[in-house]
Amino acid sequence: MVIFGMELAFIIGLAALILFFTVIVASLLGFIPQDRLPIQSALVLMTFIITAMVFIASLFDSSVLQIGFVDLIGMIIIHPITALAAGFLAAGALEVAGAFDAAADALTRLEQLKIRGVAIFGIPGTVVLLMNMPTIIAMPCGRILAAALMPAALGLGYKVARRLGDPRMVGVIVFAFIVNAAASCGPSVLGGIGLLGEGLAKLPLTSLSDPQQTGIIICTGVCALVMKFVTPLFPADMKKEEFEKEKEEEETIEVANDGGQKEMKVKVKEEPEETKEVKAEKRPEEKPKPSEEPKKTEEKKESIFKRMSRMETRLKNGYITLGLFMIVLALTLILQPKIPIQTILVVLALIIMLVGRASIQDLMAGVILHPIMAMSAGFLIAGAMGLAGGFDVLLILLRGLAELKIAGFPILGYLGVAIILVNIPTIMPMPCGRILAAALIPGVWIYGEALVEITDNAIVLPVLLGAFIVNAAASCGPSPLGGIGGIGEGNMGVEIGSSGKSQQCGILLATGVTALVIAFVTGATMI
Amino acid sequence: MGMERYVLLVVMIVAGIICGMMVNWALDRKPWELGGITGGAVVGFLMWLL
Amino acid sequence: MIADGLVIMALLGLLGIFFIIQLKMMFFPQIKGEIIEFESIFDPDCKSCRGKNEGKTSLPIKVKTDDGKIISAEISACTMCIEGIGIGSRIGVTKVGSRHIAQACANIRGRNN
Repeated sequence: MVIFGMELAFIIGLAALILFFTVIVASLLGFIPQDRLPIQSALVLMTFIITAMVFIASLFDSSVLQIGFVDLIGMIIIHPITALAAGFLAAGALEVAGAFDAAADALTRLEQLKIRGVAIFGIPGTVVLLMNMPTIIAMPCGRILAAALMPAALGLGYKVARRLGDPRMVGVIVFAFIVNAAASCGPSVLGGIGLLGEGLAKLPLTSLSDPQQTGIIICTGVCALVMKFVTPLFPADMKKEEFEKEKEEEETIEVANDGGQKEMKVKVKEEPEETKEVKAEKRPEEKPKPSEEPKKTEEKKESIFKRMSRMETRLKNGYITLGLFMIVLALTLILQPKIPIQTILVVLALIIMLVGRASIQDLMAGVILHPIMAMSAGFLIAGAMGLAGGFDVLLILLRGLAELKIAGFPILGYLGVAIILVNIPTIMPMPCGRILAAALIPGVWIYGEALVEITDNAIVLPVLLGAFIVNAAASCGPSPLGGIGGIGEGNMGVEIGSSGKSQQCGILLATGVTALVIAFVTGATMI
Repeated sequence: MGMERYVLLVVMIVAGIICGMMVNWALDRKPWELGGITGGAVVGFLMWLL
Repeated sequence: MIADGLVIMALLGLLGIFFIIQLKMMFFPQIKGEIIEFESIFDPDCKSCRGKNEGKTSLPIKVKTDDGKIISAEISACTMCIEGIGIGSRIGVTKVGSRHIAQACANIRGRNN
């Protein structure tokens, strides 16, 4: 059936595509208030509308209905969702057993590690390890380790800030850590987004993990540099005042800890309003009064010992379970057994619970369904768009854009369009990277296949998928709709969204580096 | 393990060292200072392993 | 092979159970209230002690219940970010095991009214 010179099937596909992007952009720009209709719910609503539209149109023209695509989506859903569920079980077991506690403790001890009087890691080494910890122990959702290791990140940040007399250091360390956490769900073996691409393109399991991790390492370093030199959280002229203020207070406390017998000399200094506000956010607890100091020191000693004795068993269990987890994961990746990852993770979770003496109820309390629901919303809208032929229309539009020429020269070309396509998740950042990853990955796959035909180079498909996935995974960091950046910004009392640009710079580079690693290093095993 | 896996190990350790150098620089130290380099190399190795 | 199939079925079943628990926490929480404070997870002045929240994947909050009491609970970082929860948000608290878990309180008119 033809309407206005266009096939009805094309019109329906185009309408589905327009509806999808309209919802995304409207949510980002605030036209759809997130407290009334959050993005996941909006996408589910769109799914029903698009499906209804397709069925009504199919009454007039049966070619509108594209069932085949729905089968494809159906095939790729079960594996990622069950892997994600198993991943959350394992993550929950690790948390309850104290493994993340042990990880933070290990980092603290590492700083002191010396061989023949030389600090092997020192502060910079510990900072690098801390910042990259979320991708080393890649969990199915970056927020898991972002929350678990945030105190360690803040602690190290303040320590470095004090030593250098530069408060901007806190932002450098915390936000590089956060972008790493945001991106960590991409390469995660515990139900990470990478599984989507591997399933769709029939790539070997975890083949997209290492290239993503390489990209994320570079992303983390770049984010740290940009936070330091380009978008610091505090103005440079605050540096001296903060340092002086810190030094005075350090001296005061040391006097008190020396037995509390010496007279407390409290230096009061007039602070400018800005510093006061920042300080108030950073220091919510009140300073102890001089007369209460000896008592508080004793109480503190007691409670630290009590805490240490309570902590010892938990830390021991934490170290054992963390070690067990890392060994099993390493062995799985090296030996590549024919056992599905879900089985491995479930058995691992049960063992960790036994070793860590965790109760199933506490475990269930720790499971968060938001990433699963976000991914399901993405799958649903992808299914609806597939049903409506939206991806076929997307391919036509992308090809058209690629072949657009001015004075005989292509403006973007096929590769230019590919670059824009893989960066769409960061251009339109959602609160969970899985939304756009699940929704658009069929489109990326289709375009990748077309590009393989045009360039006659099979490596193009895994490159495109890997780059898109790492971009999608990391995109939740700078999202204004509730990204991980908000955790760091909230804890430091700075404006929401202030760390977005540095994260986006890092993500751009991560995308490129991932593409390079797949193209030149791991690609041969994938094609 | 194929050759690619070992090449990947080298690539990831180098990426880790680059990250370490960037962090050294961000912390107002010389980029080639030991701490950052060691940390970065360990990061690259651990990510390759897991 | 059969064992793998059973694991997949068990996981899907477990997902169903988690989903029901989450719905219960959203629509029928044990306690309803409002967030008054995000507890500080870190003390910048404490040099050797570790953060209050060390190793936990949820963030501690203080909630003022509808009957005026102030209780401590924990909220997952995912819930906090994605649901846009802040000071003053209405939440429901449910005791699961030994933990008090806060979840966005579902409301017909608005999510966080």
